[in-house]
Amino acid sequence: MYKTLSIKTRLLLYGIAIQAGVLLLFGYSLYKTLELSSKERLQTSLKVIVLDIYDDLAEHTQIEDIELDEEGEYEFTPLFMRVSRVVEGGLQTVKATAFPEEVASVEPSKLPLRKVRFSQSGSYITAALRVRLAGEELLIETATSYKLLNDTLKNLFYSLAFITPIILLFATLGAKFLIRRSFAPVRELITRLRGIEANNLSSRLPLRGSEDEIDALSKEINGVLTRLEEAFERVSQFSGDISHELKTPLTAMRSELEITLRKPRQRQEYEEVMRSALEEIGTIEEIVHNLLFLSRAKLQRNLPKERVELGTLLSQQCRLLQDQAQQRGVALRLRGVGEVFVRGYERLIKIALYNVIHNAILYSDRGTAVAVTLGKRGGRACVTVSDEGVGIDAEHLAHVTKSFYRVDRSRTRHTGGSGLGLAIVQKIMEQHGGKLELESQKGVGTVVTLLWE
Amino acid sequence: MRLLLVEDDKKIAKTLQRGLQEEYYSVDVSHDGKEGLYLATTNEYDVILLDLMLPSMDGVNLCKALRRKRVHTPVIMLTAKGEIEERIEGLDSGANDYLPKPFAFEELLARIRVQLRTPEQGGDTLQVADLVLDRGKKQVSRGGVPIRLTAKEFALLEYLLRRKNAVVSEGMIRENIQSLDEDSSSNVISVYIYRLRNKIDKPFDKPLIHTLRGIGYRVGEDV
Ligand SMILES: Nc1ncnc2c1ncn2[C@@H]1O[C@H](COP(=O)(O)OP(=O)(O)OP(=O)(O)O)[C@@H](O)[C@H]1O
Ligand SMILES: [Mg+2]
Repeated sequence: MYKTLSIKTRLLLYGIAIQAGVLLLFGYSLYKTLELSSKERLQTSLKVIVLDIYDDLAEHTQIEDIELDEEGEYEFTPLFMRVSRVVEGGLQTVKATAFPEEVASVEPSKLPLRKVRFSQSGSYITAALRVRLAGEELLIETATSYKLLNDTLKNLFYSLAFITPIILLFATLGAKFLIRRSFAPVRELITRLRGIEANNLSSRLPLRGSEDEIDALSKEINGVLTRLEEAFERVSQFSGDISHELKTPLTAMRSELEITLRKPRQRQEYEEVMRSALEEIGTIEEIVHNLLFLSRAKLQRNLPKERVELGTLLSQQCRLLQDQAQQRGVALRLRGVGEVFVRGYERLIKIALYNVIHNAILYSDRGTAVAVTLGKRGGRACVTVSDEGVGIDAEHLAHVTKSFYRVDRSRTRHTGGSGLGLAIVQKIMEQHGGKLELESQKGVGTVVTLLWE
Repeated sequence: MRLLLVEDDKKIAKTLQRGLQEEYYSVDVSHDGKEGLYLATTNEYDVILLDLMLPSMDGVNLCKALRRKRVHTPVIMLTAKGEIEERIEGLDSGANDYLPKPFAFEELLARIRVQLRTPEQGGDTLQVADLVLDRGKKQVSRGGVPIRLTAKEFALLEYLLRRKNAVVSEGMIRENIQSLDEDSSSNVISVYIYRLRNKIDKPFDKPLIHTLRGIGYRVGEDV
């Protein structure tokens, strides 16, 4: 339940709790201080009067002679005084001003000699002193009612009890106002954020130029939006490319089948069309296969890297492509230097090698050579494939590793494939902690380097 | 009817060319943008079918260049890019229609027919006097009487009707009716004209097909 409260409500509740606590503490200490200090003052006065009476007694030889009403000089009301003689089995009053009945006398035996002690009974406070004077034991008592003090304290209590909630109420209203005010930009932020959907990721939160926390937050959110937008763009570009790539073979197949079906034809013609359709299906399959391969986040799940010998794999791939090279009139040569071991996945390395050598053959003119070299560079295993083919313009070079990127976008299916080859190679090399490097000059040739970890 | 197909994918181009020829269109094919533009500006076509992604010059630029050169042949763009923005860009560059790939061949035919419609003809029909040709239904009738024509005769009649009241030379006919080229004996066109006359003019009072000796033919009511 508490967790579901909004920050605003929580802040308000905290505020109220803290203010209530502070007010209570303040009221309590005010009350206590007043109570204690007043009581102390009363006690001091009573003590002084007791001592005065004692002095008075000491001056008189006859105890009965003292005049207690002399003490009227203390402007202190109500003041009750009593002097008693301590006798066997009780007290005998010597002199007293209308000492209230309800004030119980202290048991003199419990009192230390010559020490003023205070006691309280009912709403009276009493100071008592036991003294020995001329062989007699006397008890001097002064008392006062602190009813007045009590009344004052009671009044204070009532006014505090009345005023505290009012203060609290105003403080709460004030806090609420402040919180509302400082949360207004947050509310605005939320409204704006709510309006942002996948199709308008280009909208940004406005900065208020105040450089405060809200602005900082807006900036961060804008940053996230920018990154999201880019990612989204890439994805939709990618799916656009996919559909475009698939539409070409589909169009070829559909037109061919429809046109063939429009009228009866020779058996041989049907066979031709079916073969051609199969070819298109092959193309589609290859695209789908490559796409699946690329879209997998990890190319090899949970498998440990193994020791792979590159020399053997290279000659194997070269042998595989030799026929195609010959057909295109390209001389494919492998220059290896013994065995080079890397840690990796054999299946993936084969695909990478095949793709780059295949590209070199595909984008070369008749009568040129493709050289495949295996070696080491800075202690790292390194395969270079260099050709004397068409080369890649500087403006395209940075992009050819992107999915579906082809320099000559239109010559789709007759030279090369769908433009996924180098993207796949790049991904494979990344997975091996290595990299793919391309160097090229248009009309001169291309050098592709695969560098392992 | 003479069409120009500019499409870089050789297989698609070949297939469409064959399909259109079987519909008695004369089809020229180019796989390259600049070559396509050259053909479109030098020859006279009834409709141009244009792919967007082309080597040397893309379809949108080709179309713009064509319109700049004041060639107003109807252009139908064929492309795998089907996004609305791309369609708009294509149409804005001066194309008359836009057909996203993959398309049904029947639809392509229908859209070509739309482009072939002249303003005064509402639908797919062509008419001279009481002779009516319906390209969609592939029917011809005169004064309400249906006339059965072979596909080749139909194509020839359509060509003549589209240029009604104008003189058309044998050369023009040969260039525009692909199917007549197949057996290229020199008098093949006059043979077809003769057959057409037998079916269209003979049974009726007023002849509509006129021969201008040494010049060509003309379809229309007598002046
Ligand atoms: N050795 C090379 N010489 C010249 N251009 C190249 C070379 N290798 C790649 N390219 C260019 O880079 C583009 C992308 O290559 P990539 O291998 O990714 O795709 P592809 O070969 O077109 O298709 P795929 O490999 O998917 O069948 C190619 O279309 C080509 O234009
Ligand atoms: Mg490739």
